[in-house]
Amino acid sequence: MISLQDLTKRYGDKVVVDRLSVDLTPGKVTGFLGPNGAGKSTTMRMVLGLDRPTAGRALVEGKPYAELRHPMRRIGALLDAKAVHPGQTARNHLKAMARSNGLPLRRVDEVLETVGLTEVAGHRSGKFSLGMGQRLGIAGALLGDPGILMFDEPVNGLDPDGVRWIRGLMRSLAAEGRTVFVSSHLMSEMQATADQLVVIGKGRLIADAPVAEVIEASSLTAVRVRTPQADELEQQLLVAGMRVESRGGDELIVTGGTMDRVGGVAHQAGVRINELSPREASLEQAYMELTASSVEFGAPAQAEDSAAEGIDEKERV
Amino acid sequence: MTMAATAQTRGTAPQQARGGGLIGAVAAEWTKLWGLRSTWLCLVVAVLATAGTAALAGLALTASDSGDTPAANTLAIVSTLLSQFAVVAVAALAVTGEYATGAMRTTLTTVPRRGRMLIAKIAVLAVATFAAGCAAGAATIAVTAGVFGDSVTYGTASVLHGVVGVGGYLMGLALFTLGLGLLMRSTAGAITTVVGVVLAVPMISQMVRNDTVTDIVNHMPAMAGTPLMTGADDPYGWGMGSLLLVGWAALSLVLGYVALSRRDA
Repeated sequence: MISLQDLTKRYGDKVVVDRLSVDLTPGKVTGFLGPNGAGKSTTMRMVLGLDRPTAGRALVEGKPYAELRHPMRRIGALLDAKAVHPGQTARNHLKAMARSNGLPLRRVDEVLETVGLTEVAGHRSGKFSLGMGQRLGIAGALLGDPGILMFDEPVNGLDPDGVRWIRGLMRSLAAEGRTVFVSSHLMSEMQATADQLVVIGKGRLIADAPVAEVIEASSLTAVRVRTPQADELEQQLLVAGMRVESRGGDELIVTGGTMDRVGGVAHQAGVRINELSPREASLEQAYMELTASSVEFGAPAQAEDSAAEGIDEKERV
Repeated sequence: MTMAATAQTRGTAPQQARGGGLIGAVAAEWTKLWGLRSTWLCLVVAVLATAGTAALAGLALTASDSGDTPAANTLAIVSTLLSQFAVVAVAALAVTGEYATGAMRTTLTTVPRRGRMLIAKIAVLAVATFAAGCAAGAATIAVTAGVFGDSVTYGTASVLHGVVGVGGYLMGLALFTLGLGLLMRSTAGAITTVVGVVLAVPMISQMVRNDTVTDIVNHMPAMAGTPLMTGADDPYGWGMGSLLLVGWAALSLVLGYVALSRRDA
């Protein structure tokens, strides 16, 4: 498991990661969500001991990364940018990794098979497409058969086939009881794969909750009712303490009540119902709401600031 | 490229805590060094260029017909004057190539202890450059024999200096470069600095003709390597030269280590 304790990273007076405390549990895909420049990559680099925290710490299986005896057997990581020398062949790159952690060389062929790179194993990775590069990175992460996997924006630049493959891979890794930590700035991606969400903005923790809970908590989660007696039902629902928005004609959007409660009120009032359906907020909407309510994202000037930060993070390797 | 329909991820990696460590780190660095075409290219060029320069210098000497009898290592200094930078390139690329491509992140996640990673790089580079240097030195002696024929004298000392001395000097210079590479994280920066220290500084010092400056320059890496290759005793012998060379390499590596452990990767 990964444990972040008051993890903080400052560059000069700019705070990139701000007292982040999160525990990641096994058997789940935990989505790490935030806009570009929110501090996701920096957090992951601190977990791997590549960047030094200004304060706080990141523990892997209870230890700082550098103290792990065979780090690759504990945690495998795919970082956002390629971390492979383009002059190395795929097989040689993985061989060097395997040797560094005392892993048997047959693992190299196993992971090449898993990610579908067997046929190009002898090619230099500089010739690889973005998707093949991602696969090679994932092969490296899987090499030590670790209990924890960490992927930074794994679907970036992949074709639909590749995206589907990565989703399936993450689900199956979590189903095997591993801790899977995946960052993304795409909410739709997380809705498709994650169980748990860690949302950050400006380096600060905004939410740490199951995906379903994040969506449920959204004010955009509502019940849609169609009835010929719209006005009458609206009155009754308001009396019952729910919020009602009339869509004109026979349609009402009800928030602050479950479908059961709306049905109950209608039954008591003897109102005929033609449709009663749930309207779930998408994770994207829930996320926008979450980040909008956090002060940092309120002012437009701050939004520009965060975009600039995104560029910074890309440039600083 | 085929794609596994369902990911079979559970592998056969044994979970017992064996292997890895410093030996694993050395094995990994060895694998990476020889997996790159640039390593082979640079080292082969180093040996060939040394031999080629020796041939030209030898022919020039016979043409001037000084009547001296050359020793086996007479051409050692002149023949490595340019070719040493091919070895310098291998040393610089061992770290700067990784920083430039992002491969350093993989290196440091697989071997997170900075000191262990650096020792592994030093060991592998030392072996490779010493071997290449000895080969270059031996090639020079072969060329010397070919050009001067029977007039060459083969004392044990001159052969040792011509082979092991050249290997030792190039190894020392390579480790000096490795430290600079860690410090600068730039291939061009590291190589340019070494060119400056090895070629430009002695040339400038000759023009300046100031005793203090000359004395300082005489103790810098290029001059420290001279007695190793020639066996000369002035201004100091090969023992002192070796110490100076080790000192320079150590200084640069310590600075490089500090940068490696303090700065974010």
